[in-house]
Amino acid sequence: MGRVKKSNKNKEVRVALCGNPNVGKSTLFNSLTGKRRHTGNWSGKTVDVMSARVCTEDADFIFYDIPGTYSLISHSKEEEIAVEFLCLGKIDLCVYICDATAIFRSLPLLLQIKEAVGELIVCLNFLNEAQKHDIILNKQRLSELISCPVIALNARNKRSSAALVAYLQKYKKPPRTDLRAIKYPPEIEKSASRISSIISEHTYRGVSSYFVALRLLEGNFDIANRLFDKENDRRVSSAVLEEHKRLFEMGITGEKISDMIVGAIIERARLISDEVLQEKREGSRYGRGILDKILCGKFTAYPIMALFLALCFFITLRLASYPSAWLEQLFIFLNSHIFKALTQLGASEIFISALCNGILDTLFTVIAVMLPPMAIFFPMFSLLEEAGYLPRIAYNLDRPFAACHACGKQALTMCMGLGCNAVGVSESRIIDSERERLLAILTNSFVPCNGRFPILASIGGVFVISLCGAEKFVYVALFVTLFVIAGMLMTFPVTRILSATILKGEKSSFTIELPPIRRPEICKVILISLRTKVLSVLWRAVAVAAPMGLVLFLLSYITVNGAPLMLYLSQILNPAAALIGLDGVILLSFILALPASEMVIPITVSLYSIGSSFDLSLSELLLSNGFTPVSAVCMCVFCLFHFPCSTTLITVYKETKSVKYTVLSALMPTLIGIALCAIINIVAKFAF
Amino acid sequence: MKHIEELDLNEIGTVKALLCKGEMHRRFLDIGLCRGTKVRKVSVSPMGDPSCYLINGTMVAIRKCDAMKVGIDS
Repeated sequence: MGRVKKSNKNKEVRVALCGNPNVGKSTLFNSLTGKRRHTGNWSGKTVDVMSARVCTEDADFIFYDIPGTYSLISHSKEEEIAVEFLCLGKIDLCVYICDATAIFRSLPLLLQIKEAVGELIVCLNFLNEAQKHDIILNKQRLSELISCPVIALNARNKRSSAALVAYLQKYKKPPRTDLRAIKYPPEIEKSASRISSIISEHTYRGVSSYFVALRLLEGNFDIANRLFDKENDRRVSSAVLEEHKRLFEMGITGEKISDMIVGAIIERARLISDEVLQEKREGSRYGRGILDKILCGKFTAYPIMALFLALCFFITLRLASYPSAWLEQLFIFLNSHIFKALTQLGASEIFISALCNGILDTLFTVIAVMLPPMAIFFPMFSLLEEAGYLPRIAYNLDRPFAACHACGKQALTMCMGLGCNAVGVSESRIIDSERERLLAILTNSFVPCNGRFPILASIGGVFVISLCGAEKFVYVALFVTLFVIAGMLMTFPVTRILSATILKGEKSSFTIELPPIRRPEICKVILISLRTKVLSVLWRAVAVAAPMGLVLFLLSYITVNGAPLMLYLSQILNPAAALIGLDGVILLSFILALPASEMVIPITVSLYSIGSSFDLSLSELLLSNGFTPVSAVCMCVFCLFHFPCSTTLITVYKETKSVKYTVLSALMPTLIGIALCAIINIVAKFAF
Repeated sequence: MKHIEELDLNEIGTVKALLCKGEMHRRFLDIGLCRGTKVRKVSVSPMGDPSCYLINGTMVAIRKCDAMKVGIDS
């Protein structure tokens, strides 16, 4: 197994991988299909469905990685997706993954799915971990009680997932029986049966009519509407109305119906788990909570967070400077050879100049500047994520967010934003409340993304040089960390102001699960994050850098009144830029770098280099153009607070479907940046 | 009635009633909080809110104001 390829004459079997959040669905998906889906140790990591094909001799299996949920019957986005997949007949088989260390948690959803689709295959993950903590499960008994096959599995293990495929190959779907997995109070059962007998005349693509009847009784028309043929709507709704009336006469009203239904499910789950667990040791898997005591301790939590941040930057900056220098050397070498080769071939001068000085030069600079830090930062961050540190950050920081009428999960999206703001914005889906989700989306760009670290780092370098005379990495890392923290802190007042003005409202409830800290599979995590995240972000930057190189070339090639257009533009911007402590060239770079923030430094360098024949380093260029420590601070502040890159803006639009919020997300940070820079500039003028 | 919020660290209480409706009620049921569930307060976050509870073998952080809605036997 393991070969993933397209098309085969074999029959297709569509298999859904479902279960609670954070039980290893994506991990199993990866080891089944050989795909590299990004995984993380926190619930809500997967918010969309991914599929992959695995071909075997008998059949082609298409696996779907369904977002984790706790039930099928409330209204969150993940649940809608899960219902869509499981109930609308889009799948043939359902593989349910259980966390063996918390079997009771897994059972309610299992029972609901069983009720809805009739049969499923249950996989017990984390059995080793359960054994380690003296949780002993009776597999046989579990299988009998839920009348489903139960297999043990280690989602991380390739051999184990191969065994699952082998099992699926042999698996014969049992004839459909109307087995009621859950026993409800008799009144409810009677009513549900009556509704069910009306709708079962029109079977709804694989989902049991009893399940639909129960949802209708609860008043959950969302699910029902999607499963209905429109013509039968009226008959069914009148039947539901009648049953509601009947229940009302018995004193069972709306709210109580769903209470009774959910109560019955949980009752059944408890019965099963009591019988299946041979030794009950509640919560023993958290026995060794020393790590938690330190990570979430009263005095240690925040210093450790800051330390992690500083350490990440220090390692990234320190390690990245070497490969950056090597890449630069390599690219200069390449570029000069391409230049020579083209000249010998007799290509036109403009073409050579456009290609080598414009496109290739910008492209190479962008790669040299951004690839090494990204290749170091992303894997490091993934390791923290995989270990389960991120939800703890949300836990530590919920109080201040609550004070801003927001949700602690916003801290999670901020962390994702450190990698890439566009990712941070789309991750905001984990926040349930619409208002709080918008808060997280609008303020995400206050956290500087990976593309902006190089700006902070190199300007920090210049700042340190201009103050101390030499470049010291520790100071640079400290400088970057301070600015990043400043950006993060800015999130709070802005969030507070937003929730008092445009996004008015009170905080909603907040619950977040703290998964046990797991040792990540270091090599695998690094490989996956290199392959998926780094490559995709790099590709995006390259796709932007090449055309931008051409634009830069044109701007320096076209002349206005004898001077290159670029200088002309930067001179126009000069007075405005002077107000905020910058100069026209730097402001122009920020504007031109709208497609990708990584471009700011390369553009600045090429703008300053126009007309000078020497290859000067960034710091020499800046210092010779009147760069002062004050302008360094202003530039870093503006780097923190300006419009996010176009990809992020597009993502904001996709997530909010609103031009207003997209414009706001660009305007708000820019205005703050301008105001702050102006203040710094004026204060500095009076002080010195 | 006592609330889970008033539990001491590592004290265990048994849920008696959920004092809320609608969405919040659902969410409690989702995390397995219902009548008869045993809840242990495991830790308090560094700023004093939210707190972390052990519910059916899973650690869940719940804000003070939400935890006030879960009544336990005293």
